Amino acid sequence: MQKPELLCTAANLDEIHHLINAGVDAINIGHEQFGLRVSGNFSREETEKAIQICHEHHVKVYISTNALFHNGQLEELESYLRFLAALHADAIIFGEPTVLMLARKVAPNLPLHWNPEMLCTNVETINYWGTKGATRAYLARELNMDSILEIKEDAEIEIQVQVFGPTCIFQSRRDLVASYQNYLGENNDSPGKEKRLYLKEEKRQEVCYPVYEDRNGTNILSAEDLCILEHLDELIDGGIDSFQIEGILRTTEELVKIVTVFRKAIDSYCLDPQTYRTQIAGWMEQLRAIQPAKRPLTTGFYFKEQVF
Amino acid sequence: MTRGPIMNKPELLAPAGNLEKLKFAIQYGANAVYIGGQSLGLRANADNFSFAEMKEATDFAHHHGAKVFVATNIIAHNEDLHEVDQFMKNIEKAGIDAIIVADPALIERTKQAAPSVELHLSTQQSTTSWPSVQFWKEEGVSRVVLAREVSLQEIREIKKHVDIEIETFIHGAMCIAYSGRCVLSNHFTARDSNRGGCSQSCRWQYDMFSELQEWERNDTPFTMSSKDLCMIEHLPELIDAGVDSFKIEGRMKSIHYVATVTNQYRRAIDAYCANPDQYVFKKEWLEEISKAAHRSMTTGFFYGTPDEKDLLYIEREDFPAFDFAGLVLDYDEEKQIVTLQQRNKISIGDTVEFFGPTMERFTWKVEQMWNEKDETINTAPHAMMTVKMKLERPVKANDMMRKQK
Repeated sequence: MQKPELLCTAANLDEIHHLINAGVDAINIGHEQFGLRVSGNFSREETEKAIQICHEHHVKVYISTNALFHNGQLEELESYLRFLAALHADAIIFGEPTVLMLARKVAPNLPLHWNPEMLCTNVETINYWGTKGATRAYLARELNMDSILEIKEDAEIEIQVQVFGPTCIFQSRRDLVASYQNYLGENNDSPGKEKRLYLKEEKRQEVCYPVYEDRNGTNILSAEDLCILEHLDELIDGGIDSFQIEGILRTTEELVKIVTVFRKAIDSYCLDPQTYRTQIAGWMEQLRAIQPAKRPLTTGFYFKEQVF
Repeated sequence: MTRGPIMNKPELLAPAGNLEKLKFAIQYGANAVYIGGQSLGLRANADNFSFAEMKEATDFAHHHGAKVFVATNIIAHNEDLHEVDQFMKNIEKAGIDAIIVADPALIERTKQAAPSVELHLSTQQSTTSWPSVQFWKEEGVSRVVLAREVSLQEIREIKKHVDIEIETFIHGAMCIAYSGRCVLSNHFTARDSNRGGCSQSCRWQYDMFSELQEWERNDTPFTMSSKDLCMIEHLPELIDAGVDSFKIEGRMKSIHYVATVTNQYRRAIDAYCANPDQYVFKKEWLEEISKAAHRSMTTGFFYGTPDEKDLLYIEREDFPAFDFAGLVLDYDEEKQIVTLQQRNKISIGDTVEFFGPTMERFTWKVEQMWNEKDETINTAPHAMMTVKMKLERPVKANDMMRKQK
């Protein structure tokens, strides 16, 4: 059976060491200067070190360059792409064509993964980006299981799905949290993710959406953590190429436990589907034990009806 | 050196929620209008056009030298793609000039199925840099509608680097997120925002709290509601930057709104292009807009990233100060009697205001009214009823009458 790749975000070099030991096949890192919602900022030195360590362990490194770029950022982006190409990063992740245009010029051999968040929703568009050079697409987290499997059947490039963690539900270029604090006349130092701010709808006070700012603006994350562990078999049978765990807002210790569970689950299913089934309850128990209060584990939109 | 008139005037592009609004948008000065079809658009709840209505729309528009664009700007799912070819063939047959499209799958299919339809890249693609504009140009789109996050200076740079039509929003409501990069609706109401189901959850009220400190509920809720874009005071800069098309938002807005807003931009563009050196902004243009618009206004991202002054917190939306009270059907110069179609209650003693595509607005006190049977009436309470009124100043069919609330 074709084993999917187990991919996890990393916040720093130390976390990378632990994730490698826990069994990841690939990691996703970046810097907020170029990437959206990175879990930690890797300097150039750290990026170089990360790629070196990972490659020693045959672990791949994908770098986020999925911001929406403005004219003023083109020079620094071009320089960054040259740098990543020289380091033999295994792929860069892009969300819009600015990166494509610059990469063609300065880093034509860097593989490209297309991740425009909620905009990756049909197979023809995925294959379109394939003709433009993308080797992989990271599907919108709002797709359901049937759509995911249907897309995979006709996709001409690799398909990645999220299997665990929060999803991005909103991105604004505005600094909405700082604006609010200014409006209230409150002292505000940058409302980054370490401030652990949440939004609650007026009518549903039990649901808490993480919100924070970085240099790309304001980000809002889902109130629940996606966890598709109980349905991994369907995704593996469907031939999905890569499973991503989003580690933003989690400690290294928690993340290692999550990766360990998914590593076991994938290996177990690929070895013996029967054994896999008997262990799911136990694994879910382990995941629930480290889940923050007020953040339910759910299957997100995998089995949810949406209308329009 | 003095400048002569500007010959290549930018296009003024107005929303048209239905055929009636389309006709008024054009009569009040739009060079082009955009509409929605019954699928593939982002306003699932709007009063969208059938293909037969599209034909009627293009007949009317082309007769008046105006163009019609169809917004087909969903982010498609596999199942949406099956109908695309036929839809595009139908709109091509209906004489539609261009589609406003966000998803490359639709671009590719339209190139094959309806090659004469021009492709305008929707703002939903959030195009923010000139290499990105260049990319889309190479893909065959004839126009890019820039992201609302692009500044005036960036527009100038884009126009310098890429030879392509650039369209920007100049007026109306704005997404607070990068357009398309928001699924609040999907999470809060299970409605897919990028397929037309947006429930505008950003404008709801929220509480913000920190996990790290004792939470106190704040009296002023957190919200993500932008003031409306209004660039009427800055048109010369936009025209000089080389923007090819100025877009007014609002397919769900009223006839009164569309006619009023479109007409003020028409006047400002014409005044500047006729004589750029002598151009003076007229305060009355903004006053007119404020009679139909209901949110306070901002210049968005044109001069930098907006902050708290550009957001609506506890100031809830005011309703416009004026109601659309009547549409002029006819005017009898000899008898000085106007025939109106009632659009809001009119009574003897009301002070009303008449305005039209080219006339100077004036106020009038209602003194005598008659119904269809020429019976004297004191009030006209029924929507769409025909009313006659004594009016000593001449007006024309399709002029409008509004009334202060």
